[in-house]
Amino acid sequence: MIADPLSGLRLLVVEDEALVAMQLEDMLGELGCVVVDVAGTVSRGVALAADAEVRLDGAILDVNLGGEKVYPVAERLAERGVPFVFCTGYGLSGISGEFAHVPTLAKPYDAKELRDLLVSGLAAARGR
Amino acid sequence: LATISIIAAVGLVLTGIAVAAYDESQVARQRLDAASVEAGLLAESEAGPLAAGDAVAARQALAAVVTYPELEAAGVYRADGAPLAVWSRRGTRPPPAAVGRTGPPTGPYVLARAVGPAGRQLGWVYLRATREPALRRLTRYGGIGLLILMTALLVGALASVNAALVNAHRRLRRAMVDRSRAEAELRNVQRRQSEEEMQSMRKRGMAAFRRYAADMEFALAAGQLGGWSRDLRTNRFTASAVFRAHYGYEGGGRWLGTADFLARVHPEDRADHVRAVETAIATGGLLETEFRTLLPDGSVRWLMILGRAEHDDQGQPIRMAGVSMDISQRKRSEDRQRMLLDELNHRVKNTLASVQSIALQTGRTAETAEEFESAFLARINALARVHDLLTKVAWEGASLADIIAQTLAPYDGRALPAGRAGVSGPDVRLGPNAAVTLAMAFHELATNAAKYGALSNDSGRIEIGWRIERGAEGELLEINWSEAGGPPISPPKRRGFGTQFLQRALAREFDGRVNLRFTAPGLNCRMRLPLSAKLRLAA
Repeated sequence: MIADPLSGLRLLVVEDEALVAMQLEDMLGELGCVVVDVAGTVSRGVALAADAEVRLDGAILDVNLGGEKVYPVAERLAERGVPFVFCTGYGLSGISGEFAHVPTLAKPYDAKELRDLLVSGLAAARGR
Repeated sequence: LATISIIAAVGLVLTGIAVAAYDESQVARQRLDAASVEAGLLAESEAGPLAAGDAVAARQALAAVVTYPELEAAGVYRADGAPLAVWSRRGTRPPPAAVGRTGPPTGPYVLARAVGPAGRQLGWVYLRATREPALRRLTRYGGIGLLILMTALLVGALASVNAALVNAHRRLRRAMVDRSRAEAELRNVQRRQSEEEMQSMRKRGMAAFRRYAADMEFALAAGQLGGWSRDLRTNRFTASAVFRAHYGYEGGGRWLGTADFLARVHPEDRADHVRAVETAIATGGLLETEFRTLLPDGSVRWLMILGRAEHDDQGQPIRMAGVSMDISQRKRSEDRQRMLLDELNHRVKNTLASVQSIALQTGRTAETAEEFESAFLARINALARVHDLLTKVAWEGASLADIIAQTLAPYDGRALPAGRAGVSGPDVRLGPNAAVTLAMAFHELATNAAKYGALSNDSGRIEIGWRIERGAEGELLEINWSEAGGPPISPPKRRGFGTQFLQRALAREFDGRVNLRFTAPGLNCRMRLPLSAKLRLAA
């Protein structure tokens, strides 16, 4: 049996929509990932991303958090070398230049799309 | 000329008279010459009788003389003047009866001669020649007169013809002068006419041009359009006041060239703008560029330039002209439109994600299809109602009281009986996302109350109260949901969607804490949520 590349991945979720966060949490649980925490605000996201005590293998970031952009969280993660992916309701054009290359999932998405994105965006990074 | 001809004719007549007189005297002399011979003879022959006073001898001598036909009268007179003998032809005048000391009178046809040797006057001889016969004289004078008359007539005729010719010539010359005058006048009139026509055409043209220019100016001003033109040979640039204002050059001031305007084009747009202009000049196509201007005060304005180049017969560009338009407003509304579309897209996608989440979560906990259907539809309904509420306030945020009232009012298709719920708290306005999440939370609580709690019988009651606490970490919104009077409850055997949503999702979304307790009077739910910008729009 081939080891699932997503199994045991420790992930941070930044998502302000409670319902969506719940669903994402459930989906990730089914994929064998460990959701370290769910942040609903940019400030909490930044705090978690910057906390060296919190071990992270990757992160899933909603781009727009109640009118605030999630980029500060992305910057902290990038500084720590933690890979991350975006998910957004804006469509792919909504991502600003600096993070344009980051793998992005458009809402709404299903479990398979999420899995594919995580494999290409996060698991590959862990393999390096 | 008539005068000259009259003078000439008179001259001729006078000449004729002179000629006639001369001719007459010649004739008389000839006769006298002839008579003088006789007279000489008579005088010689009379000397003797005279000396002797012999009248008979004198008469005889006279008788000899009268044979001469040219004589008509003769006389012999003594020295004292007394006649010795006289003779005259019948029907003629007799010689003088006596002579004076100087002798008898002389004249044409009359000859008187003294008789005697020199120094001794013996007496006188008188002879008178006959006159020329009237008929001959008449004939002679008539010929000359006729000649003169003819000549005079000829002269007169010539003169009259000449006069007629001269007259005709004069009339002709007058006519020619008149004609050339008329021609000159005609030319004058024509020139004046064409000048007037030209002037009137110029006037009409100018008037039409002025009207056109005024219309253009009005149209440009009405459309808030700036006008510009550029001579491509001299590179001279002409710009209207509006055009200058578009580039931030207010008022009059100095003449501005292409470089002045180009300097105000935003540096990032300048190269594209210049390229567009050059392309339009080269191809003769329509110039249509949109670019930003950067004004000295740092403000940015969007302009649109429309123009077209004019080429000469050789295809050389000579002039370019067009209009400018301030499209900042349009650009702003385009930006706003795009932002709104993005926002709408975001909301729709998020809503769909929420629906998807509700479906999955409901499906996970429902035990039968019927249970899934009713729970799912109720949750979608709650979601739809809070969207309605938000739409009413243009997604600017809803008040907490409204959200709670809406959740309870049309609860489960039945109106909530009066007195079954108490709602109290200060005015708190929530942001759109917070409104949706809290509305869902209250929906779950209300549904649970209706199924198992205070609203499942006829006597239960719910108290919903909230307040704002000011703590060390800022303001906190505390909401209390307390049920009482319902049937006895116990904690559920498994965590359903509602429980999970309240404890996990709600708490996380707002970075707060949610306490769910199943106490003896009924369910109690206490939410402590930091009043962040996200939760509250305005207190």
